[in-house]
This record gives sequence, C-alpha cells and structure tokens, in this order.
Amino acid sequence: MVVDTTLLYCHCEHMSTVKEERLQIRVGPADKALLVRAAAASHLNVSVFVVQAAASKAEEILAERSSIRLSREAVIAFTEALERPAEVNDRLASTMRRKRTFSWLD
Amino acid sequence: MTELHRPAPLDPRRHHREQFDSGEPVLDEWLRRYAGQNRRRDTAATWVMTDADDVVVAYASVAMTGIDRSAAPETLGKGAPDPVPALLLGRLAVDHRYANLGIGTALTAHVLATAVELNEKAACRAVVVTALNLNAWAWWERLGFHPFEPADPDQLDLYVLTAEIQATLRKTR
Repeated sequence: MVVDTTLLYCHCEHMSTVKEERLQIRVGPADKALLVRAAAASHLNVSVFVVQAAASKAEEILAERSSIRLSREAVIAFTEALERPAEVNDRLASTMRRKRTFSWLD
Repeated sequence: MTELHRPAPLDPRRHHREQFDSGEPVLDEWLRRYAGQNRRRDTAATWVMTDADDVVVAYASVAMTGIDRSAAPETLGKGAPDPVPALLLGRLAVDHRYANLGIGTALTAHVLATAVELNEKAACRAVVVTALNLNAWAWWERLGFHPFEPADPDQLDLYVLTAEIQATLRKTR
C-alpha cells in the first residue's frame, strides 16, 4: 500500500509588482490537516497562511542569527577589507551630511 | 516640523505600537507581538523613535553576531579562524506616514554610533544588515553598505566596517 504524502502548493508573493512563483512542498496528512485547521481559524486560505507563517519565521531567523556564514569568495573579500587601513566611506558621509527634515524633542 | 524623541530602547508599557504600519506586514507584526522580557529568547535589543505622544514611528532591532570565516581558513594563517564580532541590524522599519523625513537614516546612524562605541570597549568590527527584499537592499547600498556576495542575487546581506564608520564620522562631524 502506498501512503502518499499530500502536495501543497504555495504562492510566494515577494512584491506586488513581481510575478508570483510556485513552490511545491510535500506534507504528511496529519501536518496538512493541522495547517488547514489553523488557516481556517485565521480566516485565511491554506496557501496564504503557510506563506505568512513561513515568512515570519524566516524573517526572525535571518534577523537574529548569532553567526553569519559567508562563501569562500566573500570571506576573502571581507578579510581584505578588514586588513586595509580605514577609509572614509563617501556614500555614508553624504548620507550623514544630509539635512534632517524633523527635529528632536529631547 | 515633525518632532521626535531620540532613539530609546523599546518600553512595551510606555511606547504605543498597535498602529505601526511600515507596509511590510512581517515587520509590523513582529513589533506588535514583541513582549519585552517575556520573549522566548532575548537575542535582539529593540530601539524605537517615537513622536510626542510616545507612538512608535520607527524601530530597529540589533543583536550581537559573529561573521564566520571558516569557508576560507587559509586566508587567516595558522589556527582556527575565530568569528569576527559584529552587530547585526536585523530589522529596520519606518511607519509609511513618516517616510522620506530621514528617520530611517537617523536610526541607522544611531546604530552605527553604537558599533563605534562597542568597538572601543570590547570588539565590534562591522555592522551587518539583512535586507528583506531588493528595494531594501538598494536602500542600504545607497547608504554606503557593501554587499557580502555581489555575485549572488539571492544573498541580501550587506556590511560596513566599524573602522570605516569611525573614519567617516570623524570627517563629517
């Protein structure tokens, strides 16, 4: 007997102007039932629910990493930058010089 | 002219964040859910800028991180490569009703100054940001951040060195 995993299709919306892409994932029947129930409880369709939940988890992981892993090329470039004498960053300097259009209360 | 409080640590009892709307639902929801000391694991500190009524108009979350260089051990000579201590500016959001006033830049400047201070007292060699999408990536790049992986379009992490921040601040002050 074949116990088939259920397919779940997700629409990944990166930006409203960008064409939607398809992500196909396999899910066991128990997990799928759980997702369907939670989506219904949130008044969302399953696809939207899964994408929102996963995006929020993904964001949290990226925003609070205790370690940033780099590729080989990136390590070499970053190490060279670290070893060079400090230079003024022109783009940063011009940003810092730009006038604020709000004022401080304190 | 809009008047705002200087950046301060988020105080969940004092600062109002229910109406915060940056246009990025993930970031808005994170701020609303934030529960201060009740968070599961407190790995990030949250800074806010607020208006005269203590309503949050922008926030940033920062965490200590390490830049792992083990992918190219030979660049570092002998011994195991230690991670480079850095500050991760993991979230930055400005309420869309306050866009284009330079608020995001002011909050970033605060975090950059924090990195310089940390580097003098302990060690903090860089500030790393992680862009949510290409628009955010372009914003950081304009500000002067460097992409870690310029050749990989899926990699949206950028950095600026603390030494560079220090040299730049000295010149613009």
